[in-house]
Amino acid sequence: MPESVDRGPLPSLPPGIGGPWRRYAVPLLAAACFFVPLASSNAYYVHSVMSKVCIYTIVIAGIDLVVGYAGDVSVGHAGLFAAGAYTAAILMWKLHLPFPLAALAGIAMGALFGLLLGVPALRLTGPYLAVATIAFGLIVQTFINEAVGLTNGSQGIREIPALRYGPVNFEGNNFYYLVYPLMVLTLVAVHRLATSYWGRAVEALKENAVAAACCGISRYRFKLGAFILSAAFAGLAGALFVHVDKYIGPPTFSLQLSILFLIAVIFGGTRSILGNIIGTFLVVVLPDVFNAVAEYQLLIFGVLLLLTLYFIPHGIAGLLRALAWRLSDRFGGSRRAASRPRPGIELPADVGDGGGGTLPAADPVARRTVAAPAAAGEAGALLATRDLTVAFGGLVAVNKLNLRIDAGRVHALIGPNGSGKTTTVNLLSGIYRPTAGRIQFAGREIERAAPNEVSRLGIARTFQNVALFGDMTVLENVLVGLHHTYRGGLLHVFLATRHARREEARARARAQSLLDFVGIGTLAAERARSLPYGKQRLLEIARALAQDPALILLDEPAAGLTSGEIAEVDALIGTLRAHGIAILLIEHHMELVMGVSDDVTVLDFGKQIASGKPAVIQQDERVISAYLGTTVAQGAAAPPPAEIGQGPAGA
Amino acid sequence: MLEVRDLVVNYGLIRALHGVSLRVGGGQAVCVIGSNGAGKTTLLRTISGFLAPVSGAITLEGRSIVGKKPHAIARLRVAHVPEGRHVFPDQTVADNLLLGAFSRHRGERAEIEADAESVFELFPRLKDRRKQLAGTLSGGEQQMLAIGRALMLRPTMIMLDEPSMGLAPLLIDEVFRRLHDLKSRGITMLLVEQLAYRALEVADYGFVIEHGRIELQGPAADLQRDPRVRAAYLGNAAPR
Amino acid sequence: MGDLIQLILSGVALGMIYALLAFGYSITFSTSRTINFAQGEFLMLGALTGLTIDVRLHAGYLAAALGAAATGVLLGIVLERVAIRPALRTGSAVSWILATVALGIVARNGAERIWGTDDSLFPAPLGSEPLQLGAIRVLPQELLVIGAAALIMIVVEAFRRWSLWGKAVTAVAADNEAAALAGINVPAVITASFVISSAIAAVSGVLVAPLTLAGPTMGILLGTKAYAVAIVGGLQSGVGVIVGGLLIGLSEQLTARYISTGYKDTPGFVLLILILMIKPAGIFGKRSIKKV
Repeated sequence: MPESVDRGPLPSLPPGIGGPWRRYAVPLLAAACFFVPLASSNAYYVHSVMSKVCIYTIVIAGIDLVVGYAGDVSVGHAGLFAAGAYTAAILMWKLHLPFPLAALAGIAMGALFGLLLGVPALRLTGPYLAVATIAFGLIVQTFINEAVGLTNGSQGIREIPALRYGPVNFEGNNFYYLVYPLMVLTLVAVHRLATSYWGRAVEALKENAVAAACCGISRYRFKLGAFILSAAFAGLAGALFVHVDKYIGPPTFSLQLSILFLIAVIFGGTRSILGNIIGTFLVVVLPDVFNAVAEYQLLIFGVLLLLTLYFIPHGIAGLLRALAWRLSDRFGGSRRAASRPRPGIELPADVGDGGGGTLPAADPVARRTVAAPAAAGEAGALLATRDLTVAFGGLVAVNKLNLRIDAGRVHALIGPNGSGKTTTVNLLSGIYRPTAGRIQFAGREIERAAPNEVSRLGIARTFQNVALFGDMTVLENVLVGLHHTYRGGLLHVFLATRHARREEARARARAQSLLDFVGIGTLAAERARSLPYGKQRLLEIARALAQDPALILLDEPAAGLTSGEIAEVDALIGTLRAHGIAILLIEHHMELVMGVSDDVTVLDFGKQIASGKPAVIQQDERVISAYLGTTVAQGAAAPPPAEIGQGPAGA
Repeated sequence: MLEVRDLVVNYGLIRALHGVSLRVGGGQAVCVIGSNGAGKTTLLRTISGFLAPVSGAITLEGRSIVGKKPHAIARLRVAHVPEGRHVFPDQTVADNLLLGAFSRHRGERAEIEADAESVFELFPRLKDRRKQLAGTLSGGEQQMLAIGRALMLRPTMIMLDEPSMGLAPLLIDEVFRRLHDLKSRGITMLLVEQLAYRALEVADYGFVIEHGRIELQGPAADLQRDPRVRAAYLGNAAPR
Repeated sequence: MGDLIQLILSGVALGMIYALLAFGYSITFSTSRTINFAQGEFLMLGALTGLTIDVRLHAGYLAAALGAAATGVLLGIVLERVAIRPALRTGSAVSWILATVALGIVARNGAERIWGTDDSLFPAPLGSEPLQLGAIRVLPQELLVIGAAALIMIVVEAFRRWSLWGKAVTAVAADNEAAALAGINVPAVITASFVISSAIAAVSGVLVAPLTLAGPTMGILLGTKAYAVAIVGGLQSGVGVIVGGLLIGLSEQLTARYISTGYKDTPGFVLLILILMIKPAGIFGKRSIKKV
């Protein structure tokens, strides 16, 4: 097995090549391709092959949203394609609607079916979702075969009107002039989506759903959104497909077509427009060109898919991208360093200097209003739990916890292994629902809030095992944390409006300054996965800060760090406190805990056994025995060892 | 019997062990103590073959076992009671024990049955529950079953990872009493524990591990009195 | 009345085939958390190999079944080596799903090249004359399918419950690290589970072919419906796949009879999607708590 399997896709093109390529070459090439019909009058190639490539590329780019960006497998896109095709065809045939209206209806029907397909995707993963999508595709195919009154059954629909509107004629080779621009529009739309906050949200959900939710991203909205948009593109492509042969029939929309779509996406390379186009060419053109191998078509595709999966997991496009990076490394290595996003506009400093540096202020426009500590609940506590309890099966993991965190203080939560510390963090961040008890934050009851809601209210967190979005760049990770600063809707993204561009530029500047703040600003363009472990911890903190939290839950921020790095974390915590951010610190590194904390709460078996100043906690006999155990000699206070072994069974 | 020399292990991206060396003599009970995240579990998982060391040597009776698969190391009669017990929940107590003897199933049927009986002697509570599914046992009983399953290997050495974890104090007492019993049978033992004083009571010799390094070692009796053991867990008492 | 009973028997026979395939899914799912999306194609390859042995070589039905089983064993090893093991190492669900799908289309296209694209008649070993049992007429092959499928499942289940190796399979399914610590060779057990599962699929092909026809496309629908059965019944439940198989087999026959033969394939899929939306672990499945 080659090593390349574990490596994620490289972050887009190297700047030395990417810049001019993006700015000049791509638009020029796109414009030139519009005139393909002038170069050949061969009706077969232009009308059948080239138009089909355009139409399928629209489907493939849509599938890429689901497979590449959202990370779900759909083996049912032929059903969505059929929904668009049949809706358009039936409306033109039975109601004599003009094509543009019929096409819109096809898009709408595709989107509706996408919603149906997306709902299971919210709950299912892997094989379950794959099976559901296969079943969906087969149901659609059965329906169009059987609903003879509506679809003309196995006979198919032939009554497709010509695309002639006065002097404008899209018949024959001219059909290409209709489908090509639509394909370009689709690709531009997908590209803009993918590189916007919307695309980052979907990708973040794929890479780590829990961490994404804790960054304020709603799973419902974005998971479903990806399916609906993907399906809408399939619907559009379906409506166009009607005109390729002026005929549609059930056999076209088979499971096999869904599989071919998938092969195209994977072979070409996911998350790449170039990849989408290459993949489509393969699937459409190859069987046409090599007529001799038509009989072995599936065999070849199957083997290609296997080889792609294991040897070039990022497809042809990934291969080309790797090549481009290698070239740029050889010829223009220095340009790479200069390419990192420009440091942000000078931002006004917030509160005075803390320990390590100054926390970059939130953009005044974007800043979410976190309830002032003064307005908080019980006697000024920022966060207070009352008898917070959670049980898994019979095990009570957290038992009547009364935790109180004041604004701007560092509160440590410590205890032996399995004492319920991380469970507490999961309760506070909305990942677990408590069995009983309440959580009050800034005067609000939040024990029933979902993680994305908790994040929006002003509680951010880090994870014990570091939960970054590994295939995204360092900067993008922080941008996901800044998700809440984006106000522009999808239309802004599609049209790349001034508003959307300003919002993006502002967020990028802020993300960069946050990275500078935690001291990893020079690594902004690296892939998060490739950072050394200590830097990953810092990145997680930067991502949490991006959410403008009033409280940060740090789950073992020093685990696995070197002593130098621990000192950095120590200083960072001090700075955050100086900026008025409260911290709940879970940590085993006692030097750090005792040095930096204002208050310490100790858990054992889910129960609070002590709470107070660090120095007091260190001397507490109960804490010492919870941590180190008691010897029989020392443990005079402990209950006498009962003879459980000899007792009656059933205890 | 077991010798670990300059073991360096990465756990994901973290360097979990930075050159750990220790020896366990035949018939000896050795404990490795240290707070959570110090690298204790990593050490045992590396000895058992789940993790590959970056460098360093692990030898069992003079022969290197680095690079062997976990099941192959088990077949060398090195038993490992994993952290969190990991009994087979959908199978009966008797089947769990039988599976513990999986690798010696050629013509040893009578011996295996005798071994199961001796496990039941050690843990009478399991005998009453031999037909019960392991998943329905209490935490303490599962811990005993996990130890029993390891004994079914007829181990020349048994490694225990945090046998006290998640157990109520009374059950911890019970488990440690059984460890004393095992020790008195002369089984070589490598005990990894967070509850330092408990572990030092059982062990002859102890190592204190902190941030992936052995910081302290000595006869168990000496370590019990050493204030540095406490400092390793709770930090130095002096406030900053 | 006799008509209805006949219908039910056909449904049960079909349901047992689905159940057999789904039973195979549940075995591999338990050890490796993957299912083989080429299972239907393995059934087809079993049927066609059996056909060659039975008809071309005149070796008889039993030899056909054994030959199919041998083919299945081979396919299981190839599957595990080519599609599952590398994918498990990368840890991505997408790659094993696509790898097994790829293997499936390779198998289908390969079969088309070897045996041609046409369906052929697979002679029923007990004759194709319906038996007259009172007012009921039954195809002997249907009885054979029901009996053989039940026997296969009972034997495999007994192996799983009572033999040491079977217990080892269950142990690997529950906790593969603990199993390794007990000295169980986990990769070997996983390979064995694919071998068993694929052999079952291939033998199912020989069982079902006399009722349908044998051809390269026969596996697509059967395999897909078996996913439905596995998921409706719950991937971790042995009883579940039988109940799921019968449920879908019967509902198909009833749909074909009382609604339309064209819609015969839909109730299974509709049921599948409903179950997935309401109770993703299946009717008999246990929901496992996912730790964060």
